[in-house]
Amino acid sequence: MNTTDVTRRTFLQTGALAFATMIPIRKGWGAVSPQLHRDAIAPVEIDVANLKILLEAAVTAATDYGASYADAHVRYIRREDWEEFTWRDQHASYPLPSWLTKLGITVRALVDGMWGVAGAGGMLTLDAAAGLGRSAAGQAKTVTSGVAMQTLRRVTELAPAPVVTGEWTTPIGIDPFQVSPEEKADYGIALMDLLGRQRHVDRAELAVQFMKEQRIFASSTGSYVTQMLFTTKGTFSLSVERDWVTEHPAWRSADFFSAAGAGWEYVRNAPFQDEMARMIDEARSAQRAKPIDVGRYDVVFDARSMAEILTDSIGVATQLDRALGYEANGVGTSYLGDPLAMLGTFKMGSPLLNVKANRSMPAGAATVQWDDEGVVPQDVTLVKDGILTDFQTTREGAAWLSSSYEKIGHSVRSNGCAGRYGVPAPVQQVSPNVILEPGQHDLSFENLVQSTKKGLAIIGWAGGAIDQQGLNGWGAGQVIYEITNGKFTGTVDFDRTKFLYRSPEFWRNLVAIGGPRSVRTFGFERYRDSELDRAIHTVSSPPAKVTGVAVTNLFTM
Amino acid sequence: MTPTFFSRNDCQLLFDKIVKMTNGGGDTSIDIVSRWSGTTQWARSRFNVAEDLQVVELSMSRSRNGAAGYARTMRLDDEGLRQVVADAEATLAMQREPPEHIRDQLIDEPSLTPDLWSAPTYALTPEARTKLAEQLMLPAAEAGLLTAGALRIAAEGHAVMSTDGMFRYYPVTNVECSMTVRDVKGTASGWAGVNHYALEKIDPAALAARALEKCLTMRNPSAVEPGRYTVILEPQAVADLLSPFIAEMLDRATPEVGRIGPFVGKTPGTTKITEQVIDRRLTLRADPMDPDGGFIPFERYTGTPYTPVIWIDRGILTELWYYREYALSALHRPSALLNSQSYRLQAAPDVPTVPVEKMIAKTDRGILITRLHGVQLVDFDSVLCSGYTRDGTWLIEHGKISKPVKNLRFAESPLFALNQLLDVGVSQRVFTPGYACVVPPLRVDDFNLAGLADAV
Repeated sequence: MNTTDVTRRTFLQTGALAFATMIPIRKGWGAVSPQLHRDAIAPVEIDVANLKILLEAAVTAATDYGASYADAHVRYIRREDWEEFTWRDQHASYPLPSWLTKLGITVRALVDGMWGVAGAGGMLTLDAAAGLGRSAAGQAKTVTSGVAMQTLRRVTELAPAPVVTGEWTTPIGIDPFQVSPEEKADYGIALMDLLGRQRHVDRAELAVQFMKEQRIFASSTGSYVTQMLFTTKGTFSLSVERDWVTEHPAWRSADFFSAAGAGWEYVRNAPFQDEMARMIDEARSAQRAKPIDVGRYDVVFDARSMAEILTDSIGVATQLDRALGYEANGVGTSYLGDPLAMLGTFKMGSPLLNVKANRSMPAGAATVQWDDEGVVPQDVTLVKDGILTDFQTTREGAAWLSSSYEKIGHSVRSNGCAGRYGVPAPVQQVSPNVILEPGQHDLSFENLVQSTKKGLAIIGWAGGAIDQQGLNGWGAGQVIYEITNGKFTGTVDFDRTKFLYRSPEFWRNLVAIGGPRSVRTFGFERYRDSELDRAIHTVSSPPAKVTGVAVTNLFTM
Repeated sequence: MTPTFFSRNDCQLLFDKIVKMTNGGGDTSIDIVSRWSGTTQWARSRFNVAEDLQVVELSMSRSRNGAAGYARTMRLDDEGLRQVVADAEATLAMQREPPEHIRDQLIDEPSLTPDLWSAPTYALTPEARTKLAEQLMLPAAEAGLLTAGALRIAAEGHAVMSTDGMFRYYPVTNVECSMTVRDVKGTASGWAGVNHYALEKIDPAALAARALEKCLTMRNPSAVEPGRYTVILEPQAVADLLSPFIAEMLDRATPEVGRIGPFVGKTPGTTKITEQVIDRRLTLRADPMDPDGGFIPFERYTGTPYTPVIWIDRGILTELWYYREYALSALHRPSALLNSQSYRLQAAPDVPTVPVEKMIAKTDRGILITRLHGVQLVDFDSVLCSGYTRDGTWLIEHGKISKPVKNLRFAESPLFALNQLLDVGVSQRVFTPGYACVVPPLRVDDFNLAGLADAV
């Protein structure tokens, strides 16, 4: 092991100790290192009482300066990264943990229908907080008093939101910041060592990140809420030895380990040991694969690949800000380009298609008690029996839809999708947890395969992309089985096989869907302006079968 | 009001304060990026939000006898600083000191001094920013179209300091301006954008006109048969194709440690340096002093200077980048050759450049492409990637733009495209926030537009 791999640059650029010194531990784990500075692992929490005064000063300054509405928001993030535990060259090694602190205050002010935002990183004095409030209103005023053309000025309406107060903490089993680095290192090393003793395993990797975040919100209408949110995320993958005939390498990453609104228990309870053998088998089965015959196939997607397609297509397209063009110059628009007319009528897919969204599911990565506008998010049905029934909205977005909502007898209320990607950062629309509802029959992935005469089964996800409207996408699985008469008859080359889809047709061809027991959940990250600032959500999905999926290879794709 | 970003003196004071908080000897180095930005955003032809943000990011390293600990924070109050020092020292304490450690002090080599500061840009008031945004919105709004866009002005102080004696500080200004124009029904879309260090270096009104014109000429697009086409890639499309892979592709360690990559030599452990890898009419280089593509002259975190480099000279691969650590262990020399990810791709000196109009005139049948979206790597060996055209795609027939076409999905390697070169135009700045990229339009043969992707 070359210690010159240690560079601060690689560490910081990858956001963690991706290339940091790996300390080889050949046998046993007694060598995990000694003294620690205890204060580093038990982070200081911000004194919420002081912050209340600070946020109120900011909000009051904004309203004194002409804002009809203002709110202020603090994000204080404490993050611990372990990147990454490895099994490589016949030994296990563990990384050093690293810590990151983010803190920022953002104030937004509404002056004559125009938003102004001011934000600052770090702790602020009372005067500086008031300064932010004035600055936010001042930013808005550059438009309201500087732009003569009325047609260029928007009139912002906000859907009503009741005044809220209170505290909330993500229900977790074990606070990861109360678990010592030694225990975490022991766990990771033990897992790597166990993997190393499995037949066929060549390399294995485990990365884990713990995040603890205080979010504090105050508004000029008197809302004041504080939340403590926990997120644990990670990746786990293994590769098997090259096949002695085909010389193909193969790997498999864990679908059961991604991101969740949970604590240390998310790592401890992950079924690494139970799933290990299956992962190894699946990786090996992909090594003697045949090339794909390009064409259209009936495809059984496992829960993971289904979740990916769902969040990329319907998950993105039902974000109202995108559908209305507010992100036209940013991440893109939506194929649901006329939301007011489409609501309640547009056919999103087969009658089997039911999609819900919430920010309340246990362990959901987007689960909160209040969103970043102080709204208690409601559970919503985005698609019912194949018909578009709602969008992901914020307070402003709900108001945009008010005429359509009235038509279908829906109250005008934010669905609670306000959030932020950075610190400090303006309020933007973030993804809630998205759920593809299971079918009524208790079908498993195996049942879906059994009912398929000729087709493919796609397991896991090996990357893909979609266009700027969530309309045309491509993807790749980690293992692809050929199905003949309800049975697996070998694998096709996962590396060179890609499937293509166009969202409306894809979802229209949804012909069978797994039952409640086949549902799995996965954490996803999404970013908007910068790759450094991300928001996390959970997608829950059963496996499903889709007919007529275009499958192609690298050379014809 | 508080200063908008850190001066040299602010950084020095903060560094001194942190050093006093450290325990247990060894070295300390810190990196501070302080940033102020003012942004005006609009959408649907109306002002959307005006914002002012100030952020300081501090990262620090504590090292002793070859072991090191790192931590980062945005909290600069005493409690926050104590925390970040404790974090770095906790990691340091967990690390074993290597048995042998040659003290490898990074000498404070002089770095270059590009002109990246614009006083008028920094002095632009929020009122003036709003006025400018209004001028950019008006043409599209008056044409009854929907424009969305953003104008961002920023000033940053970049500092790297260490108890070894390094002290670097560089202030820069930044402008990012981009806008999209769409028709009300969402059937046509046009875009234009650029980033630079100074407002006076860009022409926002011209961008607004270009985005508008693209939208107007994109109405009622028809579908064309997918397949291999002669394409004219506007500079932005070339950058969209090249930028995502510029770091990985040009990494020397990748081929030399026997891994995969497009520049792996024929024998294991070698590279393609000295071999022709792209068309001989093209040169790829980077220089902090580039008058139109200059960038901060040292690397973040280590302060290592960026030096002028020619990566590909008239089609021949001449250099690949590597860290100082790699230079010491594998190349037995002490200096790094770093890739800032800013670059200039241009026609070699004696190669005549061809304007886009002329490229169109020379094309019997082809596609003109404004920009690319969602570019993802499919196969690293060949850098085969896939993505989508966006915001302006037209069919060229018999030397003329004949009609707008629906967007297409492509599957192509930037290296293949740079080898199938027909013509190269004059290089210009494009929109790559955070980087300075100067890129020409290219006319390329046999570009694989693999499928229809009818998003607008």
